[in-house]
Amino acid sequence: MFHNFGPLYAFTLKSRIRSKAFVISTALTILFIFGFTNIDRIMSSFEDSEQASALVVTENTALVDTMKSLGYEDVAMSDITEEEARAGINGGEYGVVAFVNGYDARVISERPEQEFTTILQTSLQQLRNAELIESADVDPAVITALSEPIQLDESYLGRGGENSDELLSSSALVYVMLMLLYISIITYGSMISTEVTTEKSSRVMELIISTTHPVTHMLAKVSAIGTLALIQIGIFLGFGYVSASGSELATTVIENAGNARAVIYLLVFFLLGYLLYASLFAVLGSLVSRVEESQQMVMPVIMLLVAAFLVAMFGLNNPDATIVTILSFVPFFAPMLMFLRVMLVDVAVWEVALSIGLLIGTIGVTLWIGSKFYRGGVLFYGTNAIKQWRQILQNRQ
Amino acid sequence: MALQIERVTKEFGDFTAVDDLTFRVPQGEMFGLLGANGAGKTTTFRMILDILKPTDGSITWNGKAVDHRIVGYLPEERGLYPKSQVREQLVFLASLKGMRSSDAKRAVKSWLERLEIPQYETMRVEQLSKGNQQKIQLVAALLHNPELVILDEPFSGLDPVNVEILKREVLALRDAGTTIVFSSHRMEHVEELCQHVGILKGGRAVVSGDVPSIKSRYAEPALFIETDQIHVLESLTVIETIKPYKSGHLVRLHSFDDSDVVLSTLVRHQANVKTFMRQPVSLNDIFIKEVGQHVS
Repeated sequence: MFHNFGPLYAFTLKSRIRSKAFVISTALTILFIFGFTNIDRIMSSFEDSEQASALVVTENTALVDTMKSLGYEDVAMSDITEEEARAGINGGEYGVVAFVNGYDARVISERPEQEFTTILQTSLQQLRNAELIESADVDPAVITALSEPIQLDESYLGRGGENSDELLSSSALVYVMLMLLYISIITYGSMISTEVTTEKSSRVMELIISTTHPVTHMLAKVSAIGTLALIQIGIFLGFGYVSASGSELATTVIENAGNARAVIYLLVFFLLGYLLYASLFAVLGSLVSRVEESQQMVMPVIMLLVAAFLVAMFGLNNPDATIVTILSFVPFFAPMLMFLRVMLVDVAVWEVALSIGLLIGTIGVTLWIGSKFYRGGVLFYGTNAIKQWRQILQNRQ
Repeated sequence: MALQIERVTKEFGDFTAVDDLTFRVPQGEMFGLLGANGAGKTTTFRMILDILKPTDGSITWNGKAVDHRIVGYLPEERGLYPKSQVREQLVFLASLKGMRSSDAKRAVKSWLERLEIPQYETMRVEQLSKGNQQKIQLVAALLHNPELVILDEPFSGLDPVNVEILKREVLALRDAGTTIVFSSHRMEHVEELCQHVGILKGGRAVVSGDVPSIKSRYAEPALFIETDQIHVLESLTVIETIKPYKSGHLVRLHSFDDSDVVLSTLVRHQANVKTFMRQPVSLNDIFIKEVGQHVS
C-alpha cells in the first residue's frame, strides 16, 4: 500500500523547498521576526535622544544640581526675562526655559519637552519633600518604612505552576503553541489542498493515480508538506531564539520548554492536529478542479479551526471550564484544548489517552473516507462536488 | 500475448459511459479507438489503467490483471508540473513506475535526443512551447519501456513536422514489439498507422475489426466522374444520386455492376471524360456514416 510513497514525498518536498514562494515567505517572515523581537531597539534608534539645552530661572541653587543628578545634563541656571527666553527659543539658542517660583514652574519651549518636564517635576518634588520632612522633624526611618512595598507570596496547587511567574510562563507557552498550531495548520493545510488541486488541474494526477494508492498519495503529500512545515518553523524558532534572546518572556518560555513533558505533549498534539486537518484539506482539495475553488472549499474547515482557537483563547484563562473539558475530547478541538488542559490543570491519564485515541481514530476514518472520495474526486472536473458526491463515489465502483 | 477487453461496461449512476465493449489487441499491433467527444474512449483507457473500475466485464493483459508498471499512458489533457525541471519530473514519473533513478536519467537523455530536443533537459516545463511540452509528455509515457502504450489523442496540437516525428517513433515502438492503443480524431492518422480499429458511439462499439475488411464491408458503389456532360446521366435508372464533389461529381449507383452502363452512356453522348474512377471509401466516411456527425 505504501508503494511509491518515497518518490512522491521526495519530489513534493524538493519542489516546494526550491519554489520561489518558499524562499520569499521564509525570508520575509525572518525579517518580520527580527523586526518584532527588536522593536524597542529599532524604535529607540529613531528617537531624538538629544536633550534640548535648557535654562532654569530660579533662586533655588539646589534645583539644577538635582536635575543633573537625575540625568538631565544640559541645564544651567539663568536670570533672563520671559521676553529674552522667547527670543532665545525662537532663535534656537536654547530649547526650553523654565521659570521657577517657589515650587511652581512655568515652562516655555518650541514643542513639548517630555523628558525635561518630567525631570523638573521630580526634582522639585524631591526638594519640597526634603524641606517638609525637615521642618516636621520626622524620623527618616519612618519615611523609609512608609514607602516600602507589601510582599505577597502566592502558592498555586494547580498544574500550571507553583507561583504566578511559572503560571505566566506556562500560559505563555500554551499561547505560543496555540498560535503555532493555528497559523501552521492554516498555512500548510491550505498549501496541501492547493497542491492537490494544482496536480489535479494540471492533470498530472491522472499519471500519479494510475500508479499509486490514493491513501499513499495523500499521506505522501501530507508528510512532505509537514516536513516542510517543521523545517520552516525550525528556521523561524531558531532565528527567533537568537533574535529575542535577552527578552524576559522568551527566557521563561524557553526554560519551561526545557521541560520534557511539555515538549512531548506539544509534539504529539501538534503532529496529530496537523495530520487530522491536513488530511481533511487534502480530501477537499481533491474535490475541486481549480485553485480558486479550493480556497472556497476549505472555508468550513478553517471555520472549525477558528472556533477551536477561540475556545482555546477562552480556556487560557478558564482551563477548568466545562466547555473546555468537553471539547477537549472532540477530535477537531482536542489538539488545542487537551494540550491546554494538560499544561494548565490536572488531567487524568485516561482522559489524555481517550482524547489521543479519538484523534487517531478520526484521522484513520478521514483517510479512509478520503480514499473513497479521492480517486473519484481527482477525476471529477464538474463544478459542484457537494451536490455530486454520489457520482464521485460511483466513479470508483 | 494480447490486451483483451471482454464485455466491459462502465456506469456512472444512470449514465452508461461504456456499454458491453469487447476488443482484442494482439501484442505488437496498433489499435485505433475512434469516437466523437464523449463516446467513452477516455473512460475505456482509464479502465485499462485501473484508474476506474469497470461496472462489469474484465480487462486483462496476457490473461492477467493489467499491472500499471508495464503500461505507458499519454493522457488527452496533458499533465506535467509547469514549474519543475524537465529531467527532474521525468525521473520522478519513471520512479512511480518502479524505475531506478540512474536508469531513468539515462533514458531521459536518449529519449530527448531521439525526439530532437536534448537542449530542454534542464529547462522548466512552462518555458517550453505547447508542442515541445507534448513531446515531454510522450517521453513520460515511454521512459520506462512499457509493453503496452496508451496514447489518448497523441497528435492534437502538433505541427506537421512534429506529427511526422511522433509517427516515426510510434511505428518504431510497434516494430520493437510494443502494443499500442490510441485514440484520435484524425482519421488519416488512424488509417495510416492502425491494423485494427474500433469506432465507439455512446459507449458501444459500432464498428470494429481490421481496417481492410471494414473498408471492404463499407465500400460503396460510387464513381468519381469529371466530365462536361454530366446531365446525360440524370435519366439513368441505375444511378441513385449525383452530387457535385471536388472538381467533378460523385455518382452513387445501386450496384457496381452498372458502372459500364454509366461509361457507355457517356461515350454514346461523346462526352469529354477527364476522370472516371471508383470512389474509395475512407475511414472518415465510415466514421461519419456510423457516428452520424462530423468530429472536431
